[in-house]
Parts: sequence; C-alpha cells; structure tokens
Amino acid sequence: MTDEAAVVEAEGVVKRYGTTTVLDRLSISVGRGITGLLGANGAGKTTLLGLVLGLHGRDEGSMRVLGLDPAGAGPEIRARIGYSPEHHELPPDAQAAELVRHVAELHGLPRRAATERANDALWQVGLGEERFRPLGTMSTGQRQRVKLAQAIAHDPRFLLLDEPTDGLDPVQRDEMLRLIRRVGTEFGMDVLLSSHRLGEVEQICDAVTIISDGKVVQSGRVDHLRETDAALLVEVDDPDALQAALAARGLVVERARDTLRVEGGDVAVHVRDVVAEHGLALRRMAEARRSLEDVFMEAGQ
Amino acid sequence: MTARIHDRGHRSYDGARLGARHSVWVLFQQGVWRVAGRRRPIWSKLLFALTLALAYLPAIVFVGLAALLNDDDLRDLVLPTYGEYYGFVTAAIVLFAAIVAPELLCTDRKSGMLGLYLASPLSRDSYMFARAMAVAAVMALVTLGPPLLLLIALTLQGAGPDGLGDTLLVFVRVVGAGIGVAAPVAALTLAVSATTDRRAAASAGIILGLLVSSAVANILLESADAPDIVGLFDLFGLPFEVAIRIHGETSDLDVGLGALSTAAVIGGAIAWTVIFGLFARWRYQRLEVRR
Repeated sequence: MTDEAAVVEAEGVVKRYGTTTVLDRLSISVGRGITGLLGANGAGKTTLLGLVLGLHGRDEGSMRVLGLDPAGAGPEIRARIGYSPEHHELPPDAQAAELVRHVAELHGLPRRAATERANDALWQVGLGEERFRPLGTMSTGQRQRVKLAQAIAHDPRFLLLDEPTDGLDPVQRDEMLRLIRRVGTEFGMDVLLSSHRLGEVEQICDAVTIISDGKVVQSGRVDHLRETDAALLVEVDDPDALQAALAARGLVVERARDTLRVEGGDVAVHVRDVVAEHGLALRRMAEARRSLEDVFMEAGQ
Repeated sequence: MTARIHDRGHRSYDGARLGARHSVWVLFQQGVWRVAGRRRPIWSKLLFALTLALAYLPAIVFVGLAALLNDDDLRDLVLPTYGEYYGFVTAAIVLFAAIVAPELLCTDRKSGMLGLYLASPLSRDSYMFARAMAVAAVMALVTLGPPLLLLIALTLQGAGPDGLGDTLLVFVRVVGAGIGVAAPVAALTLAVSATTDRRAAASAGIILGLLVSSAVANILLESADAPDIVGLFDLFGLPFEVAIRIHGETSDLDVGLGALSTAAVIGGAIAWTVIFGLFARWRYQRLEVRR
C-alpha cells in the first residue's frame, strides 16, 4: 500500500541512456511539505525531475505522481505541476507579466484568470512594481523571482524548483528561501527543491532525499536524519580526567578542544557517575546532533 | 496620500482548467502574434507590415486596374492569372520563409522557453504541431490572402469568374494553391530551423536551400540532360508549379517541373512536406532540452 499523502512515489525505477544507467533501481517517496533533493552533479537529479514531469520513459519500475503514472498521463500531471528551471535564460524582450501570464495560460487557465493570477504571483514574489519591465533588463535575482512566479501562477498542486538560489548573493538567497518556505507552508503547494547546497535544504526543507549515482542513499525527515545518535557532547573543567575515566569504562571518546564527544551505551549515566566520582565541574552536556553535512558525508558523497 | 500594499495574500484558483488543446491554441496564437511583432521592437512590426504590403500591393493595384478597364479583353490582357500572381509575391514568400520559423523555433530554444513549454501540458509533438500551424498560418497570409483578395474584389466588380459554380471552383483552387505553396515552404523552414539555435544561420540556410536547390536542379536539367524528375528537387520552383497546376494553367517550363504530370508535381510537393515535417519532428524528439 502506498502512502496516500505521497506526492511522488517511485519503486525500483531504472533509467538508461544507451549503456549508461542513470537511475539504478531508485525508490523514493516525496511527501507533503518541502522536500530537498540533494546530490552532486550527475547524480541523476535532472533525470528524476524529467521522469516526474513525464518527459522521459522509464526502463523499469513503477512511479506515481499526484496519483497518476507519468508515463501515460504526462500532460495531466504537468498541468498540475509548477516548474522553475535551473537556467536563467528567459526571452529578453518579453515583459515579466506577459511571460507569467503566457505560462499560466499554457497550464490551462483562461486569459482573464491567467492575467489576474500572473499579476498576483508577481506581487507575491516582490516584483509587483516591476511586472511590466522587459526580462532582459532584470537582474539574476529578479529573474529567479520571475521563474518562481511563473511556476506558482497557475496554482499548481506540486512545485519542482531546480536550483532556485543559483546566482544569488547571500541576502537574495535568504529572501528567496523565505519565499519558498512561504509558498510551501502558506500556499498549500508541496515543493521538491533540487539543490546541491546543503545549507539551504537544511534551512527550509521538511524532508530530504540524497541521491548518488542514480540511487537513493538517504531519505527522511530532516530532523530525523539529524537526530542524536546516542552520543553526548560534554564540557567539564578537567576534560583530560573525564576523557581518561570514560575511556576506561569502554566508551568511545573524541575530543575537539575542550569538548568531548562520547558514544556508547548509557552515556549520560556514565558521565554523571564519573563527574561525581572525580568532583568535576560540569559545564555543558548536550545531545550530539548531526548536521545535514554529516549525513551527506556519511552517505558517501 | 499614497497607499501601500504590504501583503496581497495567496488566493487559490478554483476556476476552469482547460486541457492540452487549449495549450496548443495558446502557443499557436502566441506564435502568430510574435511574428507579427506584437510587444516587440518596432523593426519587427515594420518588417511584418512591409512583407504583407509586398504581397498585397500588387493585388490592390490589379483590383484598381480592373475597375478602370471596362473592356473585358483588355482586362484579361493586363490582369495576371491566379497562378501567375504568385510571381508577384515571390519576394514576400521568401522573406516570410526566412524569418518566421527561425523566429519561433530558434528563439524558443535559445531563450530557454522550450524547457518551460515542455514542462507544461504540451508534449514535443503538440509543441511542434502548434509551431508548425503558426508558421503555416503566417505563410498563408501571403500565399492565400492576396489571391483571395483578388478573387473577392474582382467578383464584386463583376470582373470575376462567371456564375456561382465557376466562382466556387476558383475559390477552391485559390485555397488549394495557397496551401500548396505554403505547406512545402513551411515544412522546409521548420526542418532547417530545427537544426540550429541561431536565427541568422537558419534564415541563411533556408534561403540557400531554396536558391541552391533551384540552381542545381536547373543546371542538371539544362546542361546535363538530367531526367525531368530532377525538377522535383527545385524547392524554389516546385511550390509555384503546384499553384499553376492547381489552377489548371499551363507551365512556362519545357523541361523538369514543366514536363512532369500534375500528379507528379503535387505528389512531389506532398512528399517534400512530409519529409521535412518528419525530419523536424525527429530532431525535436531527440533534442536535449536545457532545464
């Protein structure tokens, strides 16, 4: 039984180009909210997006997007998906409002509704005052916003954003991430954010899927992936004494300056006992949470 | 006092969602308007208007002449036949052939719009269909419009075909000839435009394709005594020969196209249209789209 809340559900998907296997028995479940799709260049992200959009046929496996099979229902699925491409090229002589309206019409909206929603979408992304400017006169940051506007204007159920912060400075990047977070939480659209930047996925995504060489190597809720691995970070006034005593009890202790990372069974009990036995001053004891970078590195990237 | 909008909020859309046919229609319309220069620099509008003027001016002049000449024999002597009229719109046809398909296909690829189109309900085939229809429609503006104008104006002046039957027959021939000229030329321009992202290169390729094929076919026919069937490789002359045959007129050519049967000429035009159309489709099926 598949997860009914899943937006994308794939099982054992294989995609080959000639003799090259780009996706190798890939299984993925993209749920509600904002999901990050992480992977190095050539990992298979773009091919996966193409399969989700129904633009390529798969060689093996099954896939459902919004409850439909993209191999046979590509146009129906694409009508309900908003897509923001990675590249920044847009027709330089077209006005922002004109482009967004055109894409909304292509997704099935009648002219009047498309015009209204194009204007609304451009206001939502902060380009209301600039909507009649030709795209060729806009900065990269503004064009990224136009790409987001054209993706949301037809009120899709699902958004595919391919590297939406590419080419932005740190301030613009934060603004764009806030905007995507808002779209994913307030607009009722589920988002699949393809990116190679760990920080931004960690910042705004509810879940993450890491792919490498066409396979899913890690997948789950971001907070679950970063969850404690039963290790504790401990700081005391005499770290040498604590390190020696804990090691003598068979625990694995790593030291970074004055902070000890302690792994093993019943870590908290051992730390408490050693601190009491040696009369140490306990300054800090906290769960050792992994960063997404740790998860990414462990996944063999 | 000025008002400031801080947050417009998000409104979900519950209205009508039209299907993939609507997407094709939207793309077709956008293509025609784009070529016409709508919301584009002034030179685009001017080029379009001048090309139309080139095609329609002779028809308007002939309609004026027909109104001035009361003598039927003199009128028949001065006015061209419908088949001959295409000789007056050659420049307009070549101009549109050189600019329309490159403007649509090459620009879509170069500007990244193709990636957005293929992420919409359009497929590669429906995209090509919409663009091909737009190219054919604009070509028909110069291959079909002026002879139709001539027919309507002459009929209203009482200088047109005799009776309803003849008028209908000429009307059908005008429409058939207009399509017969537009279709192979449009297909050729689509095929050439499918091979490059650069508009200028595509335009040059189209003009070269038309002129070089004509020159080579005629050299082979006249200097090397090649069989008449070689005339079918004259891509410039073939559409005009189709128009002459559809109107039931006699060709000026003694060899090549002129010596072939009407079925062979029309069959050749249909074959080229299909070949160029299939080539363009094949290119787009295999085209790697930038995303």
